[in-house]
Amino acid sequence: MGQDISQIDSTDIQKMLHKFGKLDEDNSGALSANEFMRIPELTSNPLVERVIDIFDSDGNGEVDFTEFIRGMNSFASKGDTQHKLRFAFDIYDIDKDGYITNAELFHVLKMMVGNNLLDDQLQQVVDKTIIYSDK
Amino acid sequence: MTSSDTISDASSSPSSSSASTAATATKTSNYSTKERNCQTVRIPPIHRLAIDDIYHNSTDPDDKPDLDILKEHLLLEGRLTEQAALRIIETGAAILRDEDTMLTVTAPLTICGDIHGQLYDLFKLFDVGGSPATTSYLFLGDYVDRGYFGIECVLYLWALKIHYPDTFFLLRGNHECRHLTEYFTFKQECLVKYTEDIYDACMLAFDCLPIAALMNKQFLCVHGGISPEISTLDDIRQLDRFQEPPPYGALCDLLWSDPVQDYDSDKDNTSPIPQRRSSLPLDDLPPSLMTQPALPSPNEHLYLHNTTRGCSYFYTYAAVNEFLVRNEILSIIRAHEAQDVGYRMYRKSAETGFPSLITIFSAPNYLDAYHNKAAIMKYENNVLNIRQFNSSPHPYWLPNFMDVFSWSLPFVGEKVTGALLCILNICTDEELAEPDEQINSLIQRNNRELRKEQLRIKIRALAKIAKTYKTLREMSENILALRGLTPLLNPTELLNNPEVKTETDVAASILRDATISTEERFSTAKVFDQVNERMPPPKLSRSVTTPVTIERTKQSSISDSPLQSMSTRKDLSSKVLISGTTQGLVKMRRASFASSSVVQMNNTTTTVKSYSKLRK
Repeated sequence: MGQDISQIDSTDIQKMLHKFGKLDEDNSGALSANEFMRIPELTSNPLVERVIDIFDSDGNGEVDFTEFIRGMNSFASKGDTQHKLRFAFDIYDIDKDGYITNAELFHVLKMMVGNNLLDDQLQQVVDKTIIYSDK
Repeated sequence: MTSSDTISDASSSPSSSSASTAATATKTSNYSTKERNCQTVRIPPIHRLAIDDIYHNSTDPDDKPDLDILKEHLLLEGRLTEQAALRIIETGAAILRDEDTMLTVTAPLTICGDIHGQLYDLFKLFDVGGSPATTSYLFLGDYVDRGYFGIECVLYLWALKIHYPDTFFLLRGNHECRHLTEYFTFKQECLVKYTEDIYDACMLAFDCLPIAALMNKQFLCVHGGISPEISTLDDIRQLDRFQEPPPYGALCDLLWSDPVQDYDSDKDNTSPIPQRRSSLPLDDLPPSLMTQPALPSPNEHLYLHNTTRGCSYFYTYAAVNEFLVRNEILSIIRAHEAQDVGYRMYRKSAETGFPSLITIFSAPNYLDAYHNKAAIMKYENNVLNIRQFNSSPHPYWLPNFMDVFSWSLPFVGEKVTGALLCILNICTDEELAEPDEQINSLIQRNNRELRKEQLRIKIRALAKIAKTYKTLREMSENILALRGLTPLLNPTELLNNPEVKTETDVAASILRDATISTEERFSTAKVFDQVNERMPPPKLSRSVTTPVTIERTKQSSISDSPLQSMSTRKDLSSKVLISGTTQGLVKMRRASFASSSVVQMNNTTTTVKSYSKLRK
């Protein structure tokens, strides 16, 4: 990555606020999953719900603007591998308890794999990964 | 997708998941985040079987591993401790080491072809063929690579060898070597499931495998076939087998050669074969079999360069017939080539009316793609019986034993950056399309341009990441679909090789096509797998110089013209000296293997280290 995607500055924030407002149809001050899905390209993305869930730090089911900017910024932070790894971890850790269980791993993978693998096959590779990664 | 509902349900529950009890935890409308999803799938055992789990009297050096305990554990994808695995591999190797390079075996006998790590099909094979306790077996090699349970096959077959040393026999296939197991998946398999020491112990054990068997003094059994450098059975007996097979020469040929494509329709059966009983010195063969043919027809040659394998030869019916007559045997039984129905009988010998050549192949639904039947051969009371069997289900592995995180992270990266890109893009459209008066009043003209450019740069960078992840993900998907049809380990290699990408794309789409017929599927799979039937290229940057490396350079200078079958006796004998196949050399090599292969109960690591010293 050449240029850094570091600070989103005040101008960008203004613009995002503008669009944010446009997406927020019920004027709740926050975007729900449905409102996000109004962006056409996002409907085919199997991980949108996971991303929204991670942004939604207070767990109220919607992403308010602060959470939104914070989420974007944390993902885009300058060269911080640890931060990005944490984000990746959070994708798998559905219940946010700091552990990725067999069940969570299965379900996140299922979102991504769809019908390319049978459930039993997916379960088998999840089992082996968990058994041999879990020290 | 229903998961959107489940996510919002989870988020709206007042208690955070950590406060919930283990039993219910975070229960979404569809699934729990604590309970394992597919309860009917048996989870592999976590504990490794130790020596005392497998041996009932482990201090007795003659004690044998318990076959039932081993089988049950391996079927569940369980593993052994390194010590236990080493003991089985080394004990088996010691037995193999003392066997002749060409075994003498008698009927009744069940002969089996390639197994290729298909453990679950191997157990089916024993159901079909009979228990090794009461049935004699001869395997023709290729126990590892391609399938993903190679080490389990080795452990179980070696345990059987330990139990039944005089009725259970294993020959060497072309995959039982360092070159192929490094290039394909067996080495990776050993590293993932065990250790490099286990891999090294297997390589040394493979060096001890006999090369051929003579059954009832009538059938020559070998993995690949005959060689222009082998005229008599004694030539095989005198080979030095205790080494990594060289890329050319007799040892290579016996493991790699194939019958010619048109073996059965080869019209060259008019060559006059003198009386069967006389043994012919090479110089005295009739002119029609000599070199420098006047006619351009390839049938004049007994051996052709094997362009499928990139090494060794194709042998013709004439070559085989000459060998059978000279050595007074009935037929050659070999494996090495996948067969749709599990076996193939070739053209009958004029003298005997019996097939001059038979291929047997014992890996059903090879690579989960060929959809072939497997077969084994039972020879009893002068009758040859073929028994076929179909594939059995087996647990799933991602290609190259990948864990699910390595597998899914590229996809996660692509999709997450894709989502963020969408959102950022909206801002850009907005900004570029409709200048906002509010904003204009706040920013000076040149600052505005700067902001636009900064955002554009950010978008481009994100787009680049997204594209890389997308390509990686597509690569991973193709690898997944082809499972086993490509040995390449590194997805980025595939990225840099557009040719491979296209091939794998096409192959993947064909494999997914459910309407394709069985015959088409076999031959299509075979076509796409053809590259994997070749001898892999030599390693490029290795500092260790071994004789094998030097010989490889020699090989590359041989021209591609069809080989003339008749060398003079002088040429052959000089080749014999180079490859060192004198009896003395063989004895020395066998002895050097013997000194390290004594199974030491207490200090198996030392034993393995001395093996490594030997190898270099």
